This record gives sequence, structure tokens and C-alpha cells, in this order.
Amino acid sequence: MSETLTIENLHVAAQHGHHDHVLVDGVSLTLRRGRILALVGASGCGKSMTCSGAQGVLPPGVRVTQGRVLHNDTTVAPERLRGRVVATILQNPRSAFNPIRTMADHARETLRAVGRFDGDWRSRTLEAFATVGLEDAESVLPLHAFEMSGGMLQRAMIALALLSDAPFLFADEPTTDLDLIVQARILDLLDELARRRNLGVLLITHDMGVVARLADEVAVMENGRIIERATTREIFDNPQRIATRELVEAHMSLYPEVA
Amino acid sequence: MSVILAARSVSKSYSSYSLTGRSAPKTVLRDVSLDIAAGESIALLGRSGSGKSTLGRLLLGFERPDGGSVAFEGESVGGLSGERYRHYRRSVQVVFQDSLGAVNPRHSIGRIIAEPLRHLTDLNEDARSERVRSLLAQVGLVPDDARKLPSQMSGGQLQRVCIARAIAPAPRLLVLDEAVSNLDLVLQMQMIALLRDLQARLKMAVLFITHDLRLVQLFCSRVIVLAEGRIQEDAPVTRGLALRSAEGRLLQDAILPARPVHRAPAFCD
Repeated sequence: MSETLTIENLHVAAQHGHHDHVLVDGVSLTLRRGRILALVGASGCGKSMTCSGAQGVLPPGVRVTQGRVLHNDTTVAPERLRGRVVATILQNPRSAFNPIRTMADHARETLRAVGRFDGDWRSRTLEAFATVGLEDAESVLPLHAFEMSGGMLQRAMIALALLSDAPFLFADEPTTDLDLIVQARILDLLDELARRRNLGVLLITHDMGVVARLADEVAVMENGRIIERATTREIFDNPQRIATRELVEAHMSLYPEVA
Repeated sequence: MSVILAARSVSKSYSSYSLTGRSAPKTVLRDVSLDIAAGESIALLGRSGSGKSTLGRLLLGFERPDGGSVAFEGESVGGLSGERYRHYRRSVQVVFQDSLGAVNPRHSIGRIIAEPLRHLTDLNEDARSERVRSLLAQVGLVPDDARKLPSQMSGGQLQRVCIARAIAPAPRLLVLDEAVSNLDLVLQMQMIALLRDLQARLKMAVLFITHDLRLVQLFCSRVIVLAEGRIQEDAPVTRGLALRSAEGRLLQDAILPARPVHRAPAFCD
């Protein structure tokens, strides 16, 4: 039996005056180590809120109203989850870094947060930078975010996620702001790392090309609910629900020579 | 066919400034020449930092080239004034990637779409609101949307508003700078269908700036590959397009798979 992470019956709501506006409506998901599960759906369907809600990092005015997260079969509080069990990489790496801190500062902060900071931090950070393909890792340490390209920043964010040594990874639109050449390299990297480190990955995306490239299984969300889940091949070959079919059809129309 | 807009050996470089002074200028465009003919649909393809948006900004007259010139209907844009300048402004319009950042959040949708009509045409108020109604219909929105504020619309609807504003003065050339990149795939396809339809009906030329070769094949008849500020390739878009330049091949190889690829199984379970 492999290690699992389960989101169970998650409800997330935004407060509008006196009543709640439901954003996530009873989502349950299980991640397994070594598997990549894609969570897909149109903009606003609640996929990012599921990811933030599970980790207890919702924006102001939005809260979890019900549900829990289990690591194997034990309930884990969000603050014990973050960094220790789940590492996260986000869309738009430019805004994910503190603009006045260097990459070395971010590495130290990450290691302190998970209680792994010691005299060895520097060599472990350099190793993580090298693993994600940041050439000349030593020269990256003193850089600020504004001194780096989007692709470098996304690699640095993945390196910081690896530093925590968490068994699970949430990747929320990890390549959406990158051009296709950089995107292809980052997806190769995620694929290789997930396999080598046996990570369980929750991959949030709206791009079925990313799903085709990377995912083992797919869960489709609409209006805060999961409406369909299946293997990636099943989703492409035999989509059951209208929203799923729309996603696959929109994607396939980009490949007129294949369809 | 008549050339609407032409870049003639344009170059552009930027310097950045910090507390320690001015950095060495970074050249983003070198000796780029490009003719855009009436009714043409051209893709400007390149990765981040290739200079494609800068070339767009020069063509739109937002910035002046350091070397070379941009010519509108044969006249240098830098020398246009009065009615000729208004004619250029009407004739070359743009839609950007970030629709929310491209509109005034306090203005109604109707006012946003009418803005170029107020500045660039002689239509009176009644004629303008009549035109706004027809523009809303052309981009698939309803007359009531004119009273809404940008915050009351979704990202896809707001991009339609930006398209309506751009086509309001009946341009001869529409520049689309990553105009569908912020939308999810289903919306992207709807937007491409809308733009194709508008282009055919209004007989505009389109310059489609993108990094995604898949969209080029759906929408354009000619593709120009830009890298490090230079044109690498200028090719007609055909079925089974195969780019030849090194950069073109890189962009083509980076296209994501259409169908699921087999991942090597992890060692678990």
C-alpha cells in the first residue's frame, strides 16, 4: 500500500454580505506517491480554491466550511501539511518571491519553516538548484527575483519545493505564464522529478496539452464539484460529461492534422 | 495588394536605470523589415524576449524606433499630423493580453467601446450609441452589457469588449498581442472563431503576436519567426507546416502532445 494524501469532502465558501457563495462543493481526491493527478476545468470552476483550501491558504473572506485532509489515514491540520507533507509551486513565479530577498534568503526561509535548517543548508540548496537545471548554482544564490527570467524563477520555485523533501507536490498552473519552449522544459523537469523522487503530484491546469504530456489520471471540475474522473487515456478517448468533452474538443481543435 | 503598414530596417534598444546608474543598452530589435498588406493575417511568433511585442509597439506608434522607420500607407509615421495622424490611429488598432488592465474600471462597457469613436470619428452621441449596440452584437454580447462595469464581466467577456473597442473605428489592421493567452482553452477557441469571422467580414489585416504555433495554424496565412530581435524566417502557413529555421524548429518541437503520452510507471504499489 503506497503513501496517500486524501482531500475529503472539502467545502470552500466566500462570504458575500450575510450569505455564503459556495466555491468548492464537496470535493474528494486521493493522491498516491509516484502518480500525477490532473485537476482540470474552466476558469472559475474552483480548482485553485481546492488547492488553497486544502492547505489553509485561502484569500481573505474565503474559508473552508467543511472537510479535512488525511495523510495516509491520519487527519492533518493545514499548517502541519504545508512544506512537510505538501510542497507547492504556483503560477506566475514573478509574484511568488519576496522582491527584496535573494534566492539564498528564500532557501534559508524554506528550510527553517520545515525545521531542516542547519550548517549544511548551502550545499543542499546548491544541489537542489543543480537538480532543476539552474546552471552555475553558486551564482544564483545572491540573485533577486527581478534579476532572473520567468523560466529561471520557475526552476528556482521548484528547487525550493524540493528542499522541503515533502512527498507530495501541488502544482497550480505551473507553466501558464511561460512561453512554449520554457514550458516544455519545465514539464520535462517535473516529469523527471516526480518519477525520480516518487512524488505524488496534484497538477492544476486548464491546458489539456499539459495533461496529455504529464498526467496519469484526470479529475474534471465544474461549478465547484468533481464531475468526472478517469485515467488520462479514458478522458481523451471516451469523455462522459459535456464539460469534459468541451475541454477535449477545444484542445483537439488545436491539432487539425491529428483530429 | 497594397501595403498598409511597413517596418523599414527598424532597430530598438532599451536601457534600464537603477541606483547605480544606467546600464548598457540592450538591443531588442535589429534591422527588422516587414510589409503588412491589406487583408493579410500574419503571425509574429517568438519566445519571451524575442522582440515581438516591441515590434508591435513600434508598428502601433507607441514608441519610435532608434533606427529605421515605420511607414503607414507609404508615409513615415513620425511625420504624420492632423487628419493624417487621426486616419493612422483609426486604421491601426490593438488588443492586449490583459483585458482587465486595458480598461478603466470606473467606466461603463458602453463608454469604453465608444472611446475611440469619440476621439477618432465625427459621430454624434446617438450615432455612437447605435454603433456600440451593433459592435456588442458583432462580438457576441448583448445590448444590456453596455451598462455594466468591467468588474461585472468575466475575463472572456471583457476580452470581447476590448475587441469591440478595437474594431469600433473600422481599422484596416488589428494587432493582437497575445490577445487570447490569458483565457482558458475553451474560451481561446471561441475567441479565435470570433476573430476569424470578424476578419473575414471586416476585411482587416491582422498581426497576431504569439508564442503558440498551434494558434498560428488556425488563424494565419503567413508566419514570421522572430528571435533575438531578428527575423529568422518568413513562411506561408500551409497544412502540415514545417518551419525550417533553428528557432522555428525549437518552437515547433515545443508543441505539447495532442494525445496522452505514455509515462514510465513509478516504482510503487
